[in-house]
Amino acid sequence: MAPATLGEFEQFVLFAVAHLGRDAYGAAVVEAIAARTGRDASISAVHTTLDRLEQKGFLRSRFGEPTPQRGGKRKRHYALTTSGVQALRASHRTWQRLADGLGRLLGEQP
Amino acid sequence: VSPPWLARWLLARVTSPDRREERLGDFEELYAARAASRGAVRARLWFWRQTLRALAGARPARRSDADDRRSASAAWSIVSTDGRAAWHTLRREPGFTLIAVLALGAAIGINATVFSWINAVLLDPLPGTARSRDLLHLTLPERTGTAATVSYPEYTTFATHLASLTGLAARDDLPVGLAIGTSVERTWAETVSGNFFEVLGVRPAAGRLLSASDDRSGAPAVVVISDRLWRARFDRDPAIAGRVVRVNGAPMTIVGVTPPAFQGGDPGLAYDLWLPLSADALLYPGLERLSARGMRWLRAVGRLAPDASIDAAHAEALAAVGSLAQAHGGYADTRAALLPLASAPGGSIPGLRPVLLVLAGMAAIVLLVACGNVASLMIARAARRRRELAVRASLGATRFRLMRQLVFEGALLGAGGAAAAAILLLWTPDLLAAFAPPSELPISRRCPWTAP
Repeated sequence: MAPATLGEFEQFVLFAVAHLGRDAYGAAVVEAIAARTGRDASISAVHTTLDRLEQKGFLRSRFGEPTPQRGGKRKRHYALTTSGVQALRASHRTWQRLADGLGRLLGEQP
Repeated sequence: VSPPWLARWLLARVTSPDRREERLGDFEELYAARAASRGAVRARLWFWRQTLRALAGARPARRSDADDRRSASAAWSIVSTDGRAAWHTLRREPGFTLIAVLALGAAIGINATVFSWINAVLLDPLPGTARSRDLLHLTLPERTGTAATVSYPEYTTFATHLASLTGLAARDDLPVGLAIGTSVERTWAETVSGNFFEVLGVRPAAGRLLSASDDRSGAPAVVVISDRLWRARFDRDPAIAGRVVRVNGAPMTIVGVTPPAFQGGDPGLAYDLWLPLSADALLYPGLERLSARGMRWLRAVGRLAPDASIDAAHAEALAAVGSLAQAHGGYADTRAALLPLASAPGGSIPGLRPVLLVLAGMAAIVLLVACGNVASLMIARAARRRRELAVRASLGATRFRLMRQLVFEGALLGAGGAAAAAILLLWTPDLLAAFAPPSELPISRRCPWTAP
């Protein structure tokens, strides 16, 4: 039994952070979600969700170096914690179990 | 391109201080990417949308220690709670909100546009010059009417007599054919005395401006160009001085560029070229205007010296008329007067003033009508909301609390109208062209937000 279940958008953000690896920060997450889901997520929603995931212990964060593109403002880089990785696996398994046996309906190749 | 400052300020306001740097950084990075890929206007709209979403989603201050220390935080929590309540109420009636915001936005936008033009022409008549309201225009009232212009010999006489002025400059304008390389365009030039830029207090943006040594017969033919021309045709080339262009066929060397705000010596008009008066022989060969005593073609502009009085200047001008009469006869009915630029006859202001006043009146009426419409919409809505307000009151809301909520709704509508107006203002300055009086003159439509 998973300790806490993730909302849909929380899963999006967690998956995006996992994809981005060392380069996961607010703006990059927004763009990764847009690229992979086609959803034009608002930055503030991403920020709020990153906060919440950090509070739940799925993410940890640290300040990066200032870069000129952002007017010298630093980035906050996020990374998955062990329980974040577990939560990601759990939600992936949940989707897999839900989809089990529906291969034809979902149009998967056998 | 930086994002809209108001939106950025609002964002900073709703972001907790310990997260502000990285969050604003994220907004700005995505904004810059958008501005590069889809253009500044769409990026701005996007930024505002993101800001509104951030405002709508802002949690009622999860209090950190830093927040508790802030005395403004109580006031802010009222603003955020009531503001959010007002936002939700307005969102429930999108039709009403849209109409009210659009009506207010259109009216505010029209007023701001018209006022910007009035400001440019009547209140700050010669932008880019030092204290343009202190400039005086020399006129010669006569029995048959007031001459706003003087001949070149008259100008030199006045210039020597008027010691109470820091200097008296003369100017005229004319359309010219400007050839840069192989391309030719028609544009407007001012021919000016050598001290023109000094009297007006204009400093060059590049190279140098004209001086007395350029305004001498036999001096090399030189020209000063406007910032607009510099950007449009020379790509802001810093090594512009020394380039040769042809003005009405005559080769002339560019020596410098005027600052962006400066448009010329005639209020409300915008010029692209400045030539010394000595070039008049090149532009009008055979006319010999510089020696013709009867040809009044120059407008003379001066600035009162810091410690001089206007009465002393008037006396000197009359003395100049006296010496002209003594030397050449005539001038029996001629007086001389130094008037502020805005009330001087001739030039573009007398033509533009009635247009501007009518426009201002129209804009005010439009605003009044829009406010009236929004007010009647709100009254109709208030009648429908009696039940809601009664419920709120019976649940314990005080009259003040109810009033505060309604005031917030009104304020939010007004803010929405102002925001709509700000968006409208991206286009309206160009529409002003439709109201400019039919004229060949290079009428300026400078607006604070379009000026570079």
